[in-house]
Amino acid sequence: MNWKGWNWKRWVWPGVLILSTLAVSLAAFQNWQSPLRPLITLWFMAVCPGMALLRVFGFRLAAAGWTLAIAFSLAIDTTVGIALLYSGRWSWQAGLVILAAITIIPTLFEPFLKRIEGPQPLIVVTKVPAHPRKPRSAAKSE
Amino acid sequence: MAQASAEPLRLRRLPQPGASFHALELVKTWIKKWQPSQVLPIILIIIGSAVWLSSLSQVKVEQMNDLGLVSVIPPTGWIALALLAVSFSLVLTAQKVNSVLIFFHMAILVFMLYGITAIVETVPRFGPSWRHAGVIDYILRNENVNPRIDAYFNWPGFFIMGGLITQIAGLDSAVYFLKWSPFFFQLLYMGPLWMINNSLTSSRRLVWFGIWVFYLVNWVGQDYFSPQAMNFFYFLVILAILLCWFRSSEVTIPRLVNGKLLQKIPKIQGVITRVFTSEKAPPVPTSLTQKTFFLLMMVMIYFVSVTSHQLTQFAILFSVLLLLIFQRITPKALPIIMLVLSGMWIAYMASAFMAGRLKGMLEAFGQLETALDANLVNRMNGSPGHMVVTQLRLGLTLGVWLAAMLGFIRQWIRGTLETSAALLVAAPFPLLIMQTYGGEMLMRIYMFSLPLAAFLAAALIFPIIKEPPSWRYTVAVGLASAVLLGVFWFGRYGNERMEYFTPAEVDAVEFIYQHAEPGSLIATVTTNLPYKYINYEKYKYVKLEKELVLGDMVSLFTTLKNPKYDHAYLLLTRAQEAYVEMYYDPGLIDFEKLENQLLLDPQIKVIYTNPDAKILEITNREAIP
Repeated sequence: MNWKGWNWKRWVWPGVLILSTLAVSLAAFQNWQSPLRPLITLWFMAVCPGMALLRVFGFRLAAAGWTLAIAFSLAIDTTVGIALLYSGRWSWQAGLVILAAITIIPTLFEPFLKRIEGPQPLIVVTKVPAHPRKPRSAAKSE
Repeated sequence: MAQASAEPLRLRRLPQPGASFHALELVKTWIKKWQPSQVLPIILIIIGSAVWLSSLSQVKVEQMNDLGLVSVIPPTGWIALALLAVSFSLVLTAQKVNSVLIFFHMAILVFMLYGITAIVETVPRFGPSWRHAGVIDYILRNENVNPRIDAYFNWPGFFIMGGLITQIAGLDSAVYFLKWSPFFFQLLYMGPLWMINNSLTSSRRLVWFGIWVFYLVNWVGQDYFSPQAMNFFYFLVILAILLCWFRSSEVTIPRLVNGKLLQKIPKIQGVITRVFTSEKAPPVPTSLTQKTFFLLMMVMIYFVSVTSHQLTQFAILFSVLLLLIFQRITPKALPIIMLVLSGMWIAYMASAFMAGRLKGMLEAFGQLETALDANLVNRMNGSPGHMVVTQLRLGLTLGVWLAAMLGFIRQWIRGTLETSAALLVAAPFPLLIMQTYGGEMLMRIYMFSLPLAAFLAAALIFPIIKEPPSWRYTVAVGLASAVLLGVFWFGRYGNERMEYFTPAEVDAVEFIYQHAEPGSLIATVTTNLPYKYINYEKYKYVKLEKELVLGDMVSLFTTLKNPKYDHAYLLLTRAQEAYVEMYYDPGLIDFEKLENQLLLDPQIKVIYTNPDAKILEITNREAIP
């Protein structure tokens, strides 16, 4: 294996996502009675599925990334819950397995995928609309 | 610079889909940006936080009067808030903007304003949040939803998600989530607010000040454990995605603007043209795959909103429609998909709720006078303290809208017009003619318009200016923050005396659930108490407020002695008493008098009492003729 091209930063998030999925699955299926379990669950359900999807689609965002990951995760959690409940197959175990799959499958592929697009400009330049206020000095000279 | 032409340039800092991010790099950048002038704010904020934490131990909620939490905040608490205001104004107007330090201030502000009740109050506050835990309890016990119970079960998305999280977390109830919900929801809002404001201005100072103002004027209190709190986050996220990644780069002036009529009035024609042509922000480059992904996620978020909340979906829909009409965004199919989703859910999944109410709702549609009566006139009553709170809330609401309007005009004059912001302030107003929403519609409209109204209001004080800002801006930001920090407590926690609960009140409710047989009648005077968090469907609940206001004791006895129920209980608590004292003339509803009157009946006896609650049991019931 060629370790020269190894970039550890690329594996941080996949590692976090896989470990989080393992932790929440173990905690839930082994029925851990620990105050950490709700915290791990909240972390997993509020961040992981959305973050996994965001990353596989090539998004590497800071503050916006966290926001979108949380929104997408909660929306996915709700959709999975609704599907299970309205289909008459409510089971938190099934819900967790589906959410774990939504997190793990894209995460396993992510480090091997090429970035969907090249580097982006850091700042977008746009023109300010017409009628800018005249500087005071210019107004006086008129 | 090639772009340095006659027209000034604006630099937009938008989230970049391809840009990499690492926490380590952020810390390195922060250290590089470190300036000695930042030491003072850091010292101030550390002292302020320490003073705040120590002052919380002096807060005695049981001594609160009708002005709410503001009446029990000790002087040291005000000193801490003043230190925060000074510190923030220094950081915001420093020579170089330090976003990490500003974020730190913002998080402390949210902790101080929205985390306070979780610390000073022993049990979770606000009755509806307990009820929401009860809906989750129902879903987990029955593994279904029964739309015939009430509206919650027709829009159960939030509760289903809550149930899934509760079970995976191994908890026996969702009550554990109630206490810190406001703090966490408010923190969540910061992300999309930051994205929205960043898409509207190049000034990072204005971005952060807009968020700061949002937190200082958000008195609405819809951030408790509720579908509304969650859906407000979805509302903000959809707007953020649209404004960041789906901006329209080409604008076609409507034919009407160039029509004969408007040609005769060139000034108006110029204004309309400017509204359309300003703010030509090119969308941030994203691939087709990414855009499709975002569209799908927006549809999913909207679907979740449709399943969770009656109102927010329409606030989203109106906002998207208005942005599309004024060509601010591109996805033209989005409102159609949204409309179909909303229509299908109402027609099929919420039909049980709509069946008996549709006629009334259609009749109420467009009744602006009724809506204003329910939202304004009917709320202007109660004790002197409560009246002060109500008037301050109204003043704050109108003040924020007025400041937003002036901020918009100021931007117009300066040539930094942001039409999208103004459109999004206006978008929720049509909700007012839809229905009264239990007299809360004006409050919800304020809430939905607030993110952008706060941004425009911030632009009034802090427009795009030459860098670095002068000391005048430091003073202006500090003064505005200090004033708003003072007013905030009246608006936000003005009803706290009736919205907080004591452990004794919770004990009384628990006693009822341990002793009352399923199918019993549980009567209360009002509904602000920590109940319905368990066995939601197993009891019949009734409130006696109307009977007591009218002095109709026959009706009251008839209700309590209804032979339909094997057992009946009347639960009287401190919070209910506070409610009637705040909302009604003194003596109109007297709990002691009521109790004495009821106890004259030999079939009624006290079965439980503690300093904050009393339970009366009605035995051997027979209908009063």
